[in-house]
Amino acid sequence: MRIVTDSVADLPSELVARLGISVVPLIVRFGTEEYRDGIDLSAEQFYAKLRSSPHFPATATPSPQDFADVYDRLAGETGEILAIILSAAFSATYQAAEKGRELMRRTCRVEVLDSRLATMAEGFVVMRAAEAARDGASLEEAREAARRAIPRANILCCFDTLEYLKRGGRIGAAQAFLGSVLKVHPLITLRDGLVQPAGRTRSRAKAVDRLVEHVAGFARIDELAVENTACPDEAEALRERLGALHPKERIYRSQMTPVIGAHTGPGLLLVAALGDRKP
Amino acid sequence: MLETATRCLQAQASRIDSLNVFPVPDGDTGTNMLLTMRAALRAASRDGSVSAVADAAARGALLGARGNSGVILSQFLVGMAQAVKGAAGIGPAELGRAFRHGSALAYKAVSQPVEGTMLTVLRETSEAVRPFESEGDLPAFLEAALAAAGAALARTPDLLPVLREAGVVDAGGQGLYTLLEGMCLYTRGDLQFVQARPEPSRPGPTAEVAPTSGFCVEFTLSRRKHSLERVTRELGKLGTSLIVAGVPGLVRVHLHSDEPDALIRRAASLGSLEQLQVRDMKRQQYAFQHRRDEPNAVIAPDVVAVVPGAGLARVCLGLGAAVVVVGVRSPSAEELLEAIESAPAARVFVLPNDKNIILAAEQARTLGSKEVSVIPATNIAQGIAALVAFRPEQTADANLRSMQEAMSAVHALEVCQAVRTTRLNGVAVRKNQLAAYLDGELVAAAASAGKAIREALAHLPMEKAQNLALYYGAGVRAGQAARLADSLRADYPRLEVEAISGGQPVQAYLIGVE
Repeated sequence: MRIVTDSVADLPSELVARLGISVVPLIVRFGTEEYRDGIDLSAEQFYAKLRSSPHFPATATPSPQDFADVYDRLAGETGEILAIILSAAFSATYQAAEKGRELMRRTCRVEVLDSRLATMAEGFVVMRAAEAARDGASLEEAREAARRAIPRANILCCFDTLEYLKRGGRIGAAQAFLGSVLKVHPLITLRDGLVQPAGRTRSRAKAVDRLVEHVAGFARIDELAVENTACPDEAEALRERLGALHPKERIYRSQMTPVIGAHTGPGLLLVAALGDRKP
Repeated sequence: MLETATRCLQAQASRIDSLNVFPVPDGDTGTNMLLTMRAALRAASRDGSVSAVADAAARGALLGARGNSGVILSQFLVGMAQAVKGAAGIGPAELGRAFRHGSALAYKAVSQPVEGTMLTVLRETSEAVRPFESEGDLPAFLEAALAAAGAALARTPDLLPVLREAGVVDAGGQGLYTLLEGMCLYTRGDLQFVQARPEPSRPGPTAEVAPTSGFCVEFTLSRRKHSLERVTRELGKLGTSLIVAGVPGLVRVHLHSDEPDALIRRAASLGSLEQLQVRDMKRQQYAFQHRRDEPNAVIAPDVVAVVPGAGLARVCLGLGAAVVVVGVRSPSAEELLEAIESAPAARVFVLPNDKNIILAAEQARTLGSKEVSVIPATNIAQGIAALVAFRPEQTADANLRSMQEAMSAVHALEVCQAVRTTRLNGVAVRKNQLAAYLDGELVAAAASAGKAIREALAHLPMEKAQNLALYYGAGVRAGQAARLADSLRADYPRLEVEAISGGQPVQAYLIGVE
């Protein structure tokens, strides 16, 4: 039994190795140059490029063949594969993962699950399934572990600019934020697999306060992560503050994957949690 | 007769809303026509000759006209009033003449008439009733008019492709048909039937519609400085879907624009603007589709905000207000009620943004049928802070709490020219000096706005402040405001300072500090 996911799950490489997870990269483009997310282009290189490149970055889903290749490789080791993919509501990666099954040359049982999430919230769901698989779970049992985790995982993030989200067309109902004459700092979450507004503030400091209040609203926290796009100092300061609510050394810290960064621009600060909200 | 017709329209308003796809699919045609008819009825409810009643109704409709369809309807009523002028009673001959004259005037009101709309239904009906005018039988005449309107209505999808694609008839035409139906019922004496008619539960088929952008701006123009033709031409340059309807001395204008503040500034130079309202059509359309696709979903409250200038209207609309009432003078409770009723949601929050408007807002709350909460913002800074905290995806109760909380966290500074020399609160003010009021109290007066503002800010714990928004008035140039903002940034390096055109006529600066 093996777990496959995509690069948007933002899983730290150490964890990927330890749990034996296979990650299929999405594609980032600057003009005509193409990079495989996290492989040809690290997060640091990406954010440096974001500032210097005359092009706005674009992203593309992996091809069905990319998934088929990974499935075929794993089919040599296992008879069951579970692919957990970012929200099908804003990416065609899910379809590619589905289509990849038809292109396989070897035979192996493959199931594809829409996490309806992204970033480490998706990553936590993948972690739970991979832990179950490591402990000898069947495909059904691993899928069940992932399904149970999905409603308990979510994100809240604050943006410095909505320019990138607007260009990428992934803004959904959050477009209510556009057209504001007054500068506001929007907060965004995921609901039903879609980007949804979750309030706004007049200052960055108040927006960060909201992230802390959000984490304080959990009765039980199993996993917690702080992610950012090109604002590592703020992320570190936020992790310090969250240390009062959850053991600091257990809070994952990651630079957001370039594929997400391409849609959010620099200055995104995000908390992802797996847990139960206070009633 | 008009009353029965209106009641009939009331019963059908939401169904007619659901037909609305042209010119803008915002689903408000039935409501707009109903609000317009109600305004006509209110004005005409006194006794008098046919001519006097028709005249008063037409004037009332004109003043209260809402939306494209409402303005066309009001113009039709004006035409009818002109046609029955001096008549002792009303019969088929008078009505026939009234129909034709009203139809002609309605065509003239629309800058680019489109066939397949309520205009077509009006014209074809008024032509079809000609043979019935001489017979003197009013019920027969109205039945003929109804039949003709029904036939014309059925043909609207053949004339207007967008209706055909959506699989609907024209909403305004349907409204007219419903009004005629009401008139028929009145002459038949079938009043019970109207009251008992149930609201249809599910709207008919409607196609996916293209997203709408822009704002709907409506106002009354009096004391105009140019001819009606010139005013129409000038306004035509400023927006689309222009409708200008009027009687001597009074013009009702409706148009769509992406730049409502620029439009309002330009329109204000053509005469004196009253009953100015700006609506966000995108929000209206969203609410309409949401209602259609998920009839049982809870719809978030809508916010109606009152502001003193066009720039501030833009700020509030950008933050999610559904309707903004722009007033130099305080709006009446009735005007606020109309704004509340024209908002798409059944639950409405009102932000009066002025302590002198709170009472009118409270009154408006009790007058209508919607569930209304007045959030007692006493100044524009509080109102905008409350709007920033507004979350359309949240319940009304959660919003009420967080909006009121946000309101209390902001300080308001108002700077205006003193009209006389006085001493207040221990502060001496000379006439023409700039006086600064902090949260309603006079705290400083100086020869320049910058000096008055600096002195006033010294009363606040500025080391804790994060944002300062400076809304400059109609009499302040953008360059002046930008220089003032720069000097405030120099004084308070950690403060985020923004200078935004407010367009208010009285206060040079309205400032919010958070």
